[in-house]
Amino acid sequence: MSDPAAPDLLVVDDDADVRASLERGLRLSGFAVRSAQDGPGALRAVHERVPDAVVLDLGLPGMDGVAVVTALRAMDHDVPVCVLSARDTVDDRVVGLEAGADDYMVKPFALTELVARLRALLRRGVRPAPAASGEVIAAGPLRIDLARRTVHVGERSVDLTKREYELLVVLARNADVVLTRERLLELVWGYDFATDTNVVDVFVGYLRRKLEADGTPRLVHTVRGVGFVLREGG
Amino acid sequence: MTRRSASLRLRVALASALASLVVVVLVGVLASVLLTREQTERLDRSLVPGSPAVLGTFASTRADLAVTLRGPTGTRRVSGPELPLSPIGVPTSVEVGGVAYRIRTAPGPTPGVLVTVGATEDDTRARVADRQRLVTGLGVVAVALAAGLGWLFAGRAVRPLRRLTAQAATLDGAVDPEVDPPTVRADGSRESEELADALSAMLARLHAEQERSTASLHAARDFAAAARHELRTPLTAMRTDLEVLRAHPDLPERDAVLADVLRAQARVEATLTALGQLAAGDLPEVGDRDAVGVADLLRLAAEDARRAHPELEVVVDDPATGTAGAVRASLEGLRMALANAVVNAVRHGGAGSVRLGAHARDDGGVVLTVDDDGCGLPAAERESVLGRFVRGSTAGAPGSGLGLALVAQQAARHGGEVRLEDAPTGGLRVSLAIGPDRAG
Repeated sequence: MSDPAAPDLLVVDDDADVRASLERGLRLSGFAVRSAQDGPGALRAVHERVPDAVVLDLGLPGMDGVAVVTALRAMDHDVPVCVLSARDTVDDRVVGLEAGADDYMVKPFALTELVARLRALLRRGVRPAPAASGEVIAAGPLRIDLARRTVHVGERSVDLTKREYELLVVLARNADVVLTRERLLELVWGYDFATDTNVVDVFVGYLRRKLEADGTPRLVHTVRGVGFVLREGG
Repeated sequence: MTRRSASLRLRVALASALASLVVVVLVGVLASVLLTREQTERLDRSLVPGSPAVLGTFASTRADLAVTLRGPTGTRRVSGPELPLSPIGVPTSVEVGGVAYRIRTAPGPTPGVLVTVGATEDDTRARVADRQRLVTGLGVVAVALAAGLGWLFAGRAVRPLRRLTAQAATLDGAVDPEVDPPTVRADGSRESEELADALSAMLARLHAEQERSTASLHAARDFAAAARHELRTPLTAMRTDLEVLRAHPDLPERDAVLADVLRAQARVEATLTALGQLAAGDLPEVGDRDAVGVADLLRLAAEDARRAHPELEVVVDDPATGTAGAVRASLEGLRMALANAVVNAVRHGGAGSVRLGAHARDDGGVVLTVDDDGCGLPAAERESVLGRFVRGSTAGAPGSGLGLALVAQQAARHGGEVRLEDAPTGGLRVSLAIGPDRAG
């Protein structure tokens, strides 16, 4: 497996069995796989060579997965990160994704699903950012400066993670248009295949929390049974 | 909603009205009797006949007087209607022509003549009735006043109760373990203070109870989450391996993958078994205590160990002298605990031999020991690895993280404790103490 074009993956999990099986499974799926068994090991591996994507267990002993994501983002690595969680409590995921991860999967998951999502996230990653210099999207109190990659609600500057920002841009470009979860998964995550996840809902939750922090009326609305829409007022 | 009883205030007002009514009636009746007697006596005194001249004056001036003379010659009315003869000297009430008279007969001024003097009782009765009305009126006023004052004073007396009610109404059911249990105060009367104290004590009990159940709920939830986590990890490996096998039927490393699948499956199974044992151990005691021979127990545990780990050398010490021959214990529980200690020695200590022993404890209990020649465990971790789902830093091949927790649970069930020490044989010693009350 010395295919130089194979995307470089870093798998981080403290369980030897999981690590071994993921390494093997992902290698056989066409990735070049390195692995680490704890947080410091993961950061060392990234320092050695920045991987194309990271598969990260949240429940690491000592420095946990959230801390690893936070550290990665703080070091300005915007490599796609898919976190794995063996707990299905909402808090756990929320915390991991909010720190800047791009997606999550609950153990046990289907390897094929993980592979498909990783490929999509990698495609996203290499695509050049839309060079829409000078363009500003405005919707009500919301102002997105695409060139500077900044978001303001009224006078307040809102700090968004990469994935949150991309989701907001897609919603704002399609203001007043209801976008289904599937459409959002495709536009923001590049998941052009059927997949069972509520990652969109989780990220919409983050966006709302950040946009409405100072009491700004809701901008991103849920259309029950359909999807989401960015629109001013009800 | 049940119908509310009358308020305490109303009841006090009614009670004081009733009490004063009884007093007023008694006093009124007494006063009425005394008054009637006094008035009658006064009337009687005025009936003492005087001389005929006086009689004449009497008769002429007082229309309400009647005088009748009786002589040997016959009866003569001096004034008024003719009065009947009454016993001499005794005032008597009679009715003459529809009018009530009080009469008295006395010997006349001349021998053989009897004088009967009578006065109408109307006046007297009217006076008595007047006074009675007055007394009745006063009585009614007194009762009303008593009721009113009762209402007023009872209002003050029940104020602490009202305060207590208001406080109780604002207590919410939420229990915050950080906050002291709520208390209520109702100063003002001893009863209300006692009630408040009793309520506060009850609240404290409820608070403590609720805290306990909240804590055990949290513990159960944490445990369930940890158990899910423990099972999901090997299942993840298993599923990934199975998908690999399906996607690559001709994989050269097929046998290695299959071995991994089997190991993960064994892990799931071991975790489920341990969870079951742990759950059973958490249940309240059932009557499974027997006199267990210590030597028999060690022999059984050694057999278990040899069967489970054929390559392991198992040595059984004879119970040290002075050790009780038998303990009241759950044979299955202790066997399972010892088996877990042996598994721990093999799996995480890499032990080649284990030594099972029993010693007397100073307090009369028994200590069962499992010594191994493995790699031991850092002293700092010897407490924590007894916790559920906690693995030591030296933990080798995957385990459930429950083995030593099961040993600790059995020790606790037997009124003892587990201690991890350095073994004389170089590895780790697991000491399972059984409380003295169990020895026998």
